[in-house]
Amino acid sequence: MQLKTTAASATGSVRGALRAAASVLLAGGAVAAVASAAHAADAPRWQFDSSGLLYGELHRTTVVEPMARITRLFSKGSSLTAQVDFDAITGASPSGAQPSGVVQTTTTPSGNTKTVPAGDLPLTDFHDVRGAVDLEYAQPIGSHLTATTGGHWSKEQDYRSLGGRAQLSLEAFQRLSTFTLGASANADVITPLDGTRAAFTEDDRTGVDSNDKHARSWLVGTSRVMTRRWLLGATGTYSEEWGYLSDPYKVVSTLDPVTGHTTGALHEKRPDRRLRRDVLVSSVYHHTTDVSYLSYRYYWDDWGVQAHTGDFRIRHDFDETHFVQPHVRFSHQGEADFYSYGIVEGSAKPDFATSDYRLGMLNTVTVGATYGFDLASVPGQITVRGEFMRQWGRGYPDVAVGSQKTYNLAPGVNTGTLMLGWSVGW
Amino acid sequence: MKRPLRMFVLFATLALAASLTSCAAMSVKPWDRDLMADKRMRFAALPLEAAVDGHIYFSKEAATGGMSVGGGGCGCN
Repeated sequence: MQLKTTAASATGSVRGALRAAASVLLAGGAVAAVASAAHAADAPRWQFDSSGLLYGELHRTTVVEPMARITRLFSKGSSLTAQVDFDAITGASPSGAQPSGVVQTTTTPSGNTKTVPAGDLPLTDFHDVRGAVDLEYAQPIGSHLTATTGGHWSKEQDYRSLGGRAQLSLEAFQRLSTFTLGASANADVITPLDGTRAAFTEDDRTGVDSNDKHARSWLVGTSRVMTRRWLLGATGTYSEEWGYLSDPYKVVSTLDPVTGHTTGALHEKRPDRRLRRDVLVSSVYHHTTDVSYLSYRYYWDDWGVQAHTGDFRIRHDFDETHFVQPHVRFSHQGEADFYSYGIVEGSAKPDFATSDYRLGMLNTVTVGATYGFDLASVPGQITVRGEFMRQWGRGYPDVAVGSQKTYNLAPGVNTGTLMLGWSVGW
Repeated sequence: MKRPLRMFVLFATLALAASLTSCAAMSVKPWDRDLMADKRMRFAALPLEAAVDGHIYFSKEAATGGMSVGGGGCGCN
């Protein structure tokens, strides 16, 4: 950095230029390193990113989520990042109960009851707000290692999360490869609004107000500059969760074995331990002008869920101030071993059961695009993103009884998101 | 060693082997890394979008995980 400045502007002489060139070569010959250092001199010391998200499921949940992140970049390569976000969630989500040929009632998290017409999928109304803070500090150690530590705290009406993480990255093989190891731990507390209900009961309270949930995760990853244009990465994570892993508001219907009509609703029960694993392969490729991002993730856990997720984005820059980035994502997951559309009266009660559609067979497709632009009157860059997401499951299982075969037990859900972002560095 | 842990160690070994063998197979010289300096050449070039996506899909699907561990915390799933 100083060499280049001195050579170019202080002397301007041939001798000075030659001396500078020789010094650069002797210093390691890394033209790219000099360019990088020069670039670093011009790089901003502060980076601010903000966004506002509007998320809406048709006839279901609406979320408004503003988010802000500020990063302080220090001269020796370390950085401190703080992120704050706030969610306001309102609407309704499926309770887990199935449609029925008779009128049903559902209970909201706050204890109010609601009547559901015959044939309709029971939904539970809810409203919640959530605030979250995340801090991260990255520190280079020597010339090839970077240590990152971070922590988060979040709070909503019935959930509190506290966690920490640490990560170590090593650059090797002329900085063409990066190896990463990471670990994290969470200590969360669930305090259901109207008390904790006992599993497989309609309304029995356990007398326990707060329920602990713990998690710890490990990560191992590597990335590699494959060619001048291609960056390839692979990451594996392994997570253990234990404690109260049920959803305090979800129920499982009991069903008449002949008519298929619901006869009641029992609070669900999930195992108190879960092991999750996933492998992610990611690619970034620089075309002549465009950059494409492709990833595939395989996920599996000991609840029996397996999922395949593919994600593709391609960024096209019209010029230095405008870009567009279309996005498509597809995910398919199989159902958990204890996923149940209902418990048929007279049959043996299972050890565990949930009718949460998110643990059933589920497909998710997302399409959308981000448009980014600079405004002469506003520093930084503005982005606008719109996306459409559709989720759908299986109409009804082969073992469905009576009228249950006439319903779509996992109807499609259409979701739209609109996100406005602003990023600026100085 | 438990099977999940064995799978994890196997993956780590394969990832390491792939990275090492690709080192022998090809080499990108320092003066050929101009494109890699482009800020778009990151796995998450728009970090807030990545954070928002992580939150949405965590709340809507059973599967989670990927580029990092920790962070977030949500009673939504």
